Amino acid sequence: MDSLKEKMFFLVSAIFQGTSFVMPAKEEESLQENIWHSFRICFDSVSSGCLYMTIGDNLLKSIHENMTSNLESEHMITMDDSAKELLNIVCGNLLPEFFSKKTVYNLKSPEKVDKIEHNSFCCENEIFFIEGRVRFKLFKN
Amino acid sequence: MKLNILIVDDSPVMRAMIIKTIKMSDLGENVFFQASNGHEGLEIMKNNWIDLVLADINMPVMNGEEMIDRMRGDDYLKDIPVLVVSTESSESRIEILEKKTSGFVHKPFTPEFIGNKILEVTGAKNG
Repeated sequence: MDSLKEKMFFLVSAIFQGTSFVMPAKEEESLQENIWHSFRICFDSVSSGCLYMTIGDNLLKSIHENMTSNLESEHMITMDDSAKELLNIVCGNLLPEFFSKKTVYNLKSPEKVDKIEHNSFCCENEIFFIEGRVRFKLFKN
Repeated sequence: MKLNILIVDDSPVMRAMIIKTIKMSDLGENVFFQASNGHEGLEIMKNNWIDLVLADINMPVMNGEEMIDRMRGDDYLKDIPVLVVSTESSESRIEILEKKTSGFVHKPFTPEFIGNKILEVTGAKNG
């Protein structure tokens, strides 16, 4: 595993465990997914680009339930809201590890997307959890 | 000691998660107020007794930094402790934010960390 993929793996695993209590698994232990949801967060600064997250339906359901159980909110919180918040946290932690800790990154609001549209690929990784799998793809302009 | 805590964040998921995490820490019962941007936060502070503000930085309408600047310029609000809760990882930016506020909580956070930070800035006792 190259160093960027390795950083992505450890960071995503730690954030998913810390925020939503899902545990990493080996590929063969991870649930196969048929339904996927894709989200994107774009950033700019010295470097600009987008981080895409494609997450299996079952994993997202588990994460959403774990993140929002016993919550008091006057708003209806959807699975998409949970996914966007998670992507925001991952991106905010990933960029300084990948590029520079001295740079201030301007993160745009995360959004749900139908497909991944970008040219300048930088790094990707698929991370397996017992409840399903998630793929991250980072593109740098 | 019961604290009146204001959470200012445009994400309802994050506001709810912060409340849940504080409840999981060993701080006893507290009263929570919520705002989705700095402008709403200032209105709540002007109309309620607030012991502590936990604020995000990047928000629409009025961001967290502007809200903090306005608090510091207001005789009634200037002494309320503020903890910034953010994914911000730039060392220079965190340094600036820490100078303006009572502290910085990096997302993701644990109940222990956020509980200790709140104790540190408010001097609140357990229960």
